[in-house]
Amino acid sequence: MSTGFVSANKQAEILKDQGNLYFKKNRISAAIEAYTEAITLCPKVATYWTNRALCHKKRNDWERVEADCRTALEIDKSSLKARYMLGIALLEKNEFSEAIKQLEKALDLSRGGTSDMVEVIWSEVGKAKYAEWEKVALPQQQKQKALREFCENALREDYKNSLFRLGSNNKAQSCGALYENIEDEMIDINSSDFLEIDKTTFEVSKLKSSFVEKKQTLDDVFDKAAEYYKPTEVPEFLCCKITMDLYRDPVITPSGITYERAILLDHLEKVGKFDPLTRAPLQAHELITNLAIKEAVKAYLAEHAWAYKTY
Amino acid sequence: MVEVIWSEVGKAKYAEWEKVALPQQQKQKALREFCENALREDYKNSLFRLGSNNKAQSCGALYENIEDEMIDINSSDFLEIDKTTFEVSKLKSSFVEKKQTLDDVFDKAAEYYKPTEVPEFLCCKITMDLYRDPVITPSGITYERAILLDHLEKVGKFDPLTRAPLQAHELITNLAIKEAVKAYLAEHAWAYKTY
Repeated sequence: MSTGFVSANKQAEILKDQGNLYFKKNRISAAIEAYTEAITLCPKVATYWTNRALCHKKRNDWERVEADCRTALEIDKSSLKARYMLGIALLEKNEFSEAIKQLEKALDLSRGGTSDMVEVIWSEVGKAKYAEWEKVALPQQQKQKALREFCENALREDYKNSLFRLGSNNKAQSCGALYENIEDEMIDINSSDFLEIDKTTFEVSKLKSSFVEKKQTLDDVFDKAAEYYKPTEVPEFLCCKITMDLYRDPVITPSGITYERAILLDHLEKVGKFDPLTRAPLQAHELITNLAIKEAVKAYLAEHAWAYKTY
Repeated sequence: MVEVIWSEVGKAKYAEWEKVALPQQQKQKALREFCENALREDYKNSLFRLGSNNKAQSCGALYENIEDEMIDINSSDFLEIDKTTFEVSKLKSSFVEKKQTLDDVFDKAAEYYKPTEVPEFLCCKITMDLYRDPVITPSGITYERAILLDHLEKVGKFDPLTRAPLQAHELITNLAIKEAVKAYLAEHAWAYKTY
């Protein structure tokens, strides 16, 4: 005999389903209401909290995303969705190192899940690491730029002064003319103007090549230091030949070639059980994690964190 | 025999690099000194200008002590000139910051010349040296081929670190690491010395 009584659990589930429908139809306020009612009935179901968090995420309401995710995690530490959304909420709040922590936990949880999710989380980790680095790197880059200009000016002043001294010593007016043209480093000092002052010409050319050499050294030094900030080409041996991107999870095949794990597993499943490059027969269980290359990528990113941008 | 040849290759590559590198290193050293002096001159001049502006003799005294970067500018000498003290400390920290940037830049450039620590992941855990011919075992660990083959023959047929069973035919050449070592040596050729 039906008593008309529906258990709280069942009611909550119905409300959740309603919320899901509203969400699909982009009626976010209604979805939030439905989830909130479900939570009121059964506050210990993590999914209700993460579903509501997803609504807040759609509205870019990051404070609420964070709050709901933290609650969900108190109920279920291993909620992938909660970790992931918490990570991106913290990223939006510019709390980079916390965001990275949560996203890396999400990454651990996502192993064995769909490769799409793994892809998305990796992408966010890259964004977070890039943002974290950028905050420190930009001011440093500015300082180096300013210092480079200062040093270059000091070199030019020194060059000018040497020329001037030479000019005064030799009472050669022409050196004064050179002083005017100091900015033009392509001065052809073999022009007829200087035919009368051979010795001076020689000394002038010595000063000029000394300056050019010092300027070159300065450029070399500052260019080297700038590599930390300026995107250059990522070394080939740190990239998967198929994705052309830095390895995230490199595996080596018996042929000695290293690939991105997710891509290779995909290939073995959908294309065929052979090594993509050598076409030798290959089974998934033959793959070996290339630990040394994994470390190499980590070390590379530490020195070239701009590469996180497209990680 | 292989060992001897590798050793000679390393020596030759080192000598080839050294011939070009030493003069470059000298130039960088000279330039670093030049730039450091330029920074100090600039700092001195700023202090001097400040001293003239404020008719504060004490700033002149600072000028004398310019080399002593640990000047305690909170000393009683300056109690009367608070505003100047503040401006002096601003100039000082500006100088210290620029000098730090200069050191960072030149230290980075000097890595090409100065031996530092070779990254662990490019070295065999047994030889502690850069890989010459790296092979990876099913456990994912990479070793120097000659050393590992030696181990399998004389010690036992197992992975030295994980102790998992291991046969010589299971070894795979770690091509990517081989490239990584090559690239590292191109930027840190001083490492050829002990290759």
